[in-house]
Amino acid sequence: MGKKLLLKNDHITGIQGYDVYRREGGYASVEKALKTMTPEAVVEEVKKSGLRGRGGAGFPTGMKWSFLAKPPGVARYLVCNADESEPGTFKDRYLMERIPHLLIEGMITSSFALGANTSYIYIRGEYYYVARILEKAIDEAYANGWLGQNILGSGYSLDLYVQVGAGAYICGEETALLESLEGKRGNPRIKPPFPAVAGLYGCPTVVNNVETIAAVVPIVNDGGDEYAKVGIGKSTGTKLISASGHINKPGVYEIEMGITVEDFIYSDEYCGGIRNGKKLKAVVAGGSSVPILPAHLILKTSAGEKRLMSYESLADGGFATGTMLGSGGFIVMDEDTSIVKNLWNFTRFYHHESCGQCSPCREGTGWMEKILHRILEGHGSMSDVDLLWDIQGKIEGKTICPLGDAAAWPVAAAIRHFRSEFEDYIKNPKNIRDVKHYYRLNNLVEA
Amino acid sequence: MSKIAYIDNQPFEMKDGETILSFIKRNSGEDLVPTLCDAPNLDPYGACRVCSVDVALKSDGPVKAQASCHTPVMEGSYIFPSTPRITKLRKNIVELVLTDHPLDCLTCEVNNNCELQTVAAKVGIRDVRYPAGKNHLDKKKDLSHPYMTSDFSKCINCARCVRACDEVQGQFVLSMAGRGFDSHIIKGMNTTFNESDCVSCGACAQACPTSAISDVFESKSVVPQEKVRTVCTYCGVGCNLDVAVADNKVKSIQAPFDADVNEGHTCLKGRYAFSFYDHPDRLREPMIKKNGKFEEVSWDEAYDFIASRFTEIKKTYGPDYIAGISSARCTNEENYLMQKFMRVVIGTNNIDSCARVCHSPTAIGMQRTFGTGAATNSIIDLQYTDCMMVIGANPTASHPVTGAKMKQVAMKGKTLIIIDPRKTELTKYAQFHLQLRPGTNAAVLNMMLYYIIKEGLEDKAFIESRTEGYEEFKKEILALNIPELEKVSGVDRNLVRDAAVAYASAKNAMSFHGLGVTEHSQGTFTVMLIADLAMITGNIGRRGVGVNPLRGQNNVQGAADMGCQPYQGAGYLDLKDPEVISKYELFYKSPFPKEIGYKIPEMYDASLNDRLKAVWIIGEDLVQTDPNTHHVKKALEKLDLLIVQELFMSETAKMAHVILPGASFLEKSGTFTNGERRIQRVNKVVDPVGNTKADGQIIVDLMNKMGYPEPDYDPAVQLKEISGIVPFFKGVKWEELGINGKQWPVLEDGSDTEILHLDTFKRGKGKFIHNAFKETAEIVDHGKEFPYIITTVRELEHYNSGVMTRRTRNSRILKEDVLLINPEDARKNSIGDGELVTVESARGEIVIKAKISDEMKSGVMSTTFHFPEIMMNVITSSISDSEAKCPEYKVVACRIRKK
Ligand SMILES: Cc1cc2nc3c(=O)[nH]c(=O)nc-3n(C[C@H](O)[C@H](O)[C@H](O)COP(=O)(O)O)c2cc1C
Ligand code: SF4
Ligand code: SF4
Ligand code: SF4
Ligand code: FES
Repeated sequence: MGKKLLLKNDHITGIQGYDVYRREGGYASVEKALKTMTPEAVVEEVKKSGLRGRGGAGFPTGMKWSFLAKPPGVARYLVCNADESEPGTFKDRYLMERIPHLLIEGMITSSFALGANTSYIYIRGEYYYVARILEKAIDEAYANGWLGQNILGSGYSLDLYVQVGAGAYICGEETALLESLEGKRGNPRIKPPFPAVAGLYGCPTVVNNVETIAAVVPIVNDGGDEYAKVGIGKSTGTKLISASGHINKPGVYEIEMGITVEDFIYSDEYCGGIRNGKKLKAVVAGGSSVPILPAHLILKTSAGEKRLMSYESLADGGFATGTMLGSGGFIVMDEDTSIVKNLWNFTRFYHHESCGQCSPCREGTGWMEKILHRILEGHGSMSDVDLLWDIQGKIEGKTICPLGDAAAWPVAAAIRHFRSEFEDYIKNPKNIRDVKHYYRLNNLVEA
Repeated sequence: MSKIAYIDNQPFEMKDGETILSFIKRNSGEDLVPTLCDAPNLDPYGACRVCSVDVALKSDGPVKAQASCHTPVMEGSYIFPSTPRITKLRKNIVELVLTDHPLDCLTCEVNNNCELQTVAAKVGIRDVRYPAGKNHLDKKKDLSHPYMTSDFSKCINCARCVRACDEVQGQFVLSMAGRGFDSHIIKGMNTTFNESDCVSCGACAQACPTSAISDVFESKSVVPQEKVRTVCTYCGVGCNLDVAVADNKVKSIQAPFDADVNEGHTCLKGRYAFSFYDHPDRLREPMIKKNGKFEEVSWDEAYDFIASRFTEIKKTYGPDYIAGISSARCTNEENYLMQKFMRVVIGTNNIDSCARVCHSPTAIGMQRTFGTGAATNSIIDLQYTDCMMVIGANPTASHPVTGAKMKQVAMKGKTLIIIDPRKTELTKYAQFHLQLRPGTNAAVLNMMLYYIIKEGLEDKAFIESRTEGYEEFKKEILALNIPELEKVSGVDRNLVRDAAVAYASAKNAMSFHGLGVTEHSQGTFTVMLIADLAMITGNIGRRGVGVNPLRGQNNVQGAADMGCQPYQGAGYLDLKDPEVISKYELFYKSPFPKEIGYKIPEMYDASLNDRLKAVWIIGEDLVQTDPNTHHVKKALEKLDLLIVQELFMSETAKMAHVILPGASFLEKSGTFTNGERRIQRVNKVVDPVGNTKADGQIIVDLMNKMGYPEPDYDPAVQLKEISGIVPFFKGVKWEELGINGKQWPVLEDGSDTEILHLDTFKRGKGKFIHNAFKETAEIVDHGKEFPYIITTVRELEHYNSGVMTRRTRNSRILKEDVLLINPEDARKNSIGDGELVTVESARGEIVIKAKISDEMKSGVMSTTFHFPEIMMNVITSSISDSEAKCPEYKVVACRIRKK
């Protein structure tokens, strides 16, 4: 069994409630931080831990925190990003549902470290029931003196609010999230300025993922050095993986970083192998936006080394032969999966979710979807593949926010690794097995 | 050490914080990088990505495409604005945009004048590689509004319109609805322009790069033969206008981005309300009333008639039986000539102007305290202030471009204090609204002074070094009866205290006041109290502070500067001073009248008492706009000679013996001086319509007729003369005024002045003068019998008596004067919304439509005076400011009943 730092108590009955959570050692990090540490010392521990943001980009959290501007007399905010809308990602929901107090505890300790006296958890609208769970936990935390004025007599005060989003993936992008939190249309902001300088209401702000904030709890409890001992290289600690697709045991797993991908897919502790004894065709390792890899490249790097579940190893080979750990949404596809169809589905998502500001993203995502649809309908032409390649190239890196990249990368990777499959669809439309039926079944076409 | 970045490997000096785009524009030309969503007066937005350029950290390092319009230049970076990779990228992006845009340029309104078309051509697009797909080409046009139009099939989602409405006008009418490909512009809650809260400023139409939002004049796309830059004729903001002309007709008006005053913005009056100028109603020929009917005559006949009548009256009764009323709508040069005519040709100081009815108390109040009767600071100071106090002014309606700027400043979190009986639009953005009873400004300001002293917030160093009279003043303030003042004003003393503390403790606080201060029996005293507030808190003599009257008319500052008042000559020289008289005599090489003349209200009395026989009025409709209409009419009827020089047959013109048709601002040149003392060039756009003449030329012609040789009207010539006598115009030269004019005092070397009283006051030390609150006679005498108070105001769409704006499509937006009445008062008097009400004062009564609104407190009502149908001034009183004789329009005791 790998070491667990976040979900070690998730099996305990009643852990959702305050009493059991507290009995199992909950809120110790708050006590430790507020009573024995300075905010700077907490930041120092997080730096030492090597913790990297779990929201997708993997930016070192300690460094992000130390960038926070601290002009005198100006409020600072911590905002937890619980928007979790990336297809294939559902780890934050699991954590919040199961152990809501872990997030609350992490928010208090982290807010203390950052000097924020008001903090927010921004949660996607579809998680309204999770929002209720969090609100209940917050009420309990207030009732027990962990939130509010002068917590534990330390002189530190914190108010914590849950804000429910209105159903847009883009509001997971941190600056769109801040706009939405301010009550505006959720459009990503141009940067600079970055949130660390001018975030919520123009004040210095840190936005962190749910899992990132939860990880601060063991870091403060055990010390950053201890945390850094878990994992491998610059991928310290444990990571929650949302495993889905054609596997025997889909679900959320906490892994020690550095286990092999092969182990993760095939061992009984995790995914338990491919369903129905089929063969592995491809994996999207970090949520729908990261490049898809064919079986041989996900299990081994191009240099022939075993691929590990870590930031570095998954990225080995760049986009030519590698991918990204991303948000840890691990989607497994068996040999029967149509890459083109799957890509169309992803593209459809990004087209629907583009905020519409940037012309390449607004128009480009639409065209990519249309062209893929055309191919699936049997009306594709060979130049379509090049056109797709062209469009994704005009979006990637050329937009305000990374949604553009997220929409472009899957297209690029699918063409890169599975070009022949596209060509096959175009040359032999009959090979598109019962596409119409597929659409109807999934309620994807209007009549 | 200067910082360097490279464009195509060539080093250039960069400025801190500048965007890559502005860096490239500065060094490699405006047109090198195409843009779509960027606009000169809007914050960078970064949405179209057409402005992308390649950037590398080393000359041979890897490049990354970055949107140049919002990315700051990095020191030492290497920028490649047009590599093949980038040109291809731009082309592809524009191509994507065009997939959702009709390709019917040839039939489009903005064909050949379309930014999208220009950019597409520039990036080399010939055809589009995408087959027809889902698009938005079937969107319907919106032609519901008198001015604004939209055709969203042409929209490219650049959001320039939304940003213009938000960032420039602050109206928040437009927004982007839907997401991604479904993004689309909506007005209000998805309604039409006409039903939305749009104030027709036209900022969105000017900002839109395509014809998606435009206006009925197709302003963006008219192909003019000529564009003439001039200055707006309406309010004292003094917006610059770019007028498109073809075939000697005005086609449209746009706002120049390089105008210091309005930076690419105007209100609907400046931009759209120009069609009055060639309206069929324009007076086109001189007329003499013969047997009770006007008959067209030649200019010569009219001049001969006037000259002989003037000469006769002068001979029979003396020069002081003749008076002139000059116009704040006319140029400086014309005002100068008019006062010169009266003083030097006729020989009387009976010269006044409409400044009398607006800011004469400001001039006197500020002269007595500071030494100069003009705004101490400039509008640009709004960028530097921490607190704005707006007293008796409704800038978003009456000074719309300044009002819009104030909204922006308030939205950035700066303190805003409003002292006004009405819930004006600005109150929505204000921290403090002191909603006092009309006529009690002095009470509230006294309370503020009291609390500033009580809280120890005076600027002792400033008071010590730069002012006089403080100790006496302080004693009087501390002796005030605060509960009494609280009672009369109806404003909670704690609220007054908090506002006073906010004003006094702001690092830099600016005050603004309008006619709600001056048009009271205590107008001048109130202005002095405002000056006291600025001095006691040290808010004078630097950026972001000062006392700033919002001048009502385009050139009311100028009319006063030029000497159109009976007690001061050109340049405000005091006529009671014999040395001044000799100075003028020397300058004009002519005898100069020594008696102080009549102010306008005194002219009425003089006429009624047979001490005035002839009046020449330029551009003012006394009958509709001066208070107590019956009194005015009686006085004018009694005259032997009434000459009215006008654009239209106004209520006053109807009473004239001679009508002289003047030219409008579009038909002549000269200078206007705006509310921040900025002398700006008015340039003739079209020839005078019909047989009309520039007012200045008419005056010159009459001077010559009366035997005084004067060269033809030419602003350059008259300005030269003015600079010889008006001290603060010393360095003003027509050729040197440039596009943005100069703010007086203009020194001999041509340098101008943004901020007055920097180190010392004009009068040496600033003078504290205390003035206690005194109830107006209107309330004392009539308050019991007439328990309601009515106050007169203006609305955005119309300008004063409305002679001009009513002859434009503005009258389709605001059609009539209404009475704003509080719901409670309406209920008490059983008055329903839209019902007719009789409003009666001690002078007379009017019938007007009620509009129930909580803008007014119970007991107080308001109405406008834009339409002659109502003749609001039938009920206003002849009471006026004790010092300046500015009429008390703002307080009328009345009673109401349902008609
Ligand atoms: C389109 C888009 C959606 C995103 N959605 C999420 C999300 O749901 N949750 C999340 O934590 N981060 C999301 N991110 C990443 C955030 O912008 C941000 O990087 C993250 O919240 C930072 O937290 P971390 O440093 O703890 O990873 C998204 C980014 C993009 C571009
Ligand atoms: S990349 Fe797409 S989602 Fe992101 S800001 Fe631009 S249009 Fe919006
Ligand atoms: S005309 Fe002015 S107020 Fe109206 S929508 Fe356009 S920008 Fe907004
Ligand atoms: S209406 Fe014009 S300015 Fe507004 S988004 Fe469309 S194209 Fe841009
Ligand atoms: S002009 Fe820079 S992104 Fe539009």
